[in-house]
Amino acid sequence: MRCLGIESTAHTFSCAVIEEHGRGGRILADVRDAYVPPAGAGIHPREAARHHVAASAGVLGGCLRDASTGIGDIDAIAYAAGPGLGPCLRVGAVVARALCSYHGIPIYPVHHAIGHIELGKMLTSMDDPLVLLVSGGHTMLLAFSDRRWRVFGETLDVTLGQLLDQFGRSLGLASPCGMQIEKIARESGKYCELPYAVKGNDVSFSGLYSAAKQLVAGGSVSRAVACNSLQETAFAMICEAAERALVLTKKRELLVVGGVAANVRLDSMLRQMSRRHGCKMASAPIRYAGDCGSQIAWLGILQSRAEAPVRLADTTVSQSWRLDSVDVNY
Amino acid sequence: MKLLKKGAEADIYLTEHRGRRAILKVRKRKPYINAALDERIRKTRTLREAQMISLVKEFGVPAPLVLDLDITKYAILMEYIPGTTVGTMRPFRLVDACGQIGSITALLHKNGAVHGDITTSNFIASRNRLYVIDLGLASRTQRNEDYAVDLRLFREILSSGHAKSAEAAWRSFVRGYVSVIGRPGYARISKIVADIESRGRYATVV
Repeated sequence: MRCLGIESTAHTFSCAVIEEHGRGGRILADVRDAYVPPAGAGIHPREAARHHVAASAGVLGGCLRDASTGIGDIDAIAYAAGPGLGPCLRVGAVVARALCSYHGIPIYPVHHAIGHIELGKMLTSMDDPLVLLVSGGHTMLLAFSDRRWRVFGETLDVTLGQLLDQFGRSLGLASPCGMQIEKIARESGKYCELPYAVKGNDVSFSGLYSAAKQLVAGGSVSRAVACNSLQETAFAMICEAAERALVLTKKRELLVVGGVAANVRLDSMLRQMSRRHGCKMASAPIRYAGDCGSQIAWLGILQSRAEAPVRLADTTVSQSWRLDSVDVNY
Repeated sequence: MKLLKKGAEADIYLTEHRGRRAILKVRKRKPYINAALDERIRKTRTLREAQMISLVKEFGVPAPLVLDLDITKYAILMEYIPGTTVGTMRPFRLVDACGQIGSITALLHKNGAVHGDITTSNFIASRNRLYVIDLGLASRTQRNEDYAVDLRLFREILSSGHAKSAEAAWRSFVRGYVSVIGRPGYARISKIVADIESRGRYATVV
């Protein structure tokens, strides 16, 4: 079974082909092209969608070529049906629908964030982890029970990715800013006190964001100190929420997925925290931590094991789609 | 001294105090957290917890006695409460106990305080009473929004940690809460819970 996955929820347009390999899968190809907004600006949904339209043919062609696969060898096509930016989601859905209707291939709409989780599980060979999903779209602690991914903690306002992006943009950086902030933060070990808001297993970043911005605007501290203080505070909050969820759920594995999983400092904090509780910890490999076609293709394979394909008329997209509202049948 | 539990923010030891069993709760240094931040968190929470444990008793909420506080070691020595936490109860008893958690939560709110970490693991059934523990995130507050965060957290824990009995347990919690606060008070706060949820990610259908 070979599944083509199409991802287009935000800045990245990506296609991947995964071949079923026992219970797991082998990634035959994963090609991406990301929209880069101007410095100091965020993703403009219309501009990102235009980028995806222009990039789609090249990415799809490159992906099939890298996988040495013809479209005739594809057994199913999965696309990210949400959550994400409406105009961007529609591009992926249109490409998927066009291919499926012309070539008569079964089609599966999948949940983007569950794709992050399932690909992470497959690549790290984890069985029943507590999952920390940290990206631009999500900041959630999840564990699976009774056919659904259940939320054991989440952000009450902006996500960790948004916090880093918005703060980075105020410094004049271009999104995504996480990597750049981490690099700037390394220039200073100094820490300036910032609001720390952990509410049970939940976190709130809005106060931290405002305070960090004021810190820079005040001009009394350098960019490096501000970046370091922001990171240290935000990551400590995430670490504590994860630690609380770990103790509560008594899970023996912690899996970190999503774009911010690529952050080295966060990874090291979570690793040490997990060790304290005798818990195995792994992050999705950097290449597959952020948005990619593989997460969509792999979830397509899982869904095809348990569900019939969807009728073309029902291949919609949804900008807002809560992860914990999705029934998992595989 | 025996380590009972490695908690998320503290280690819990079983020890003795004047011939009786006692609990020593120590907030240890976390080497992976920034040192200044870690120190600030451990200090404020240790002090806060000791103060709030004493304070809630004034509201008629059962809580362990504080026997000693050593802020240089970030440690609280407190009375040992024998019993089982609500989280480990069978569904039938759990639903029942959630009603008591509801009325305790309401008593706190009515007196201008929040627990800050209302989970089923933070209530111990003992001697026919329900004791509240783990008050490190508790605080004094008059803001309805803070009360709403308590309710939201508890509902989140029920639907994730006790998925099968979540609805019955939540109804029972609300009954207990309303019995102390009254219908109008609950309606006001539950409206804020909805506001908070609408601020979350992907909460509203666009």
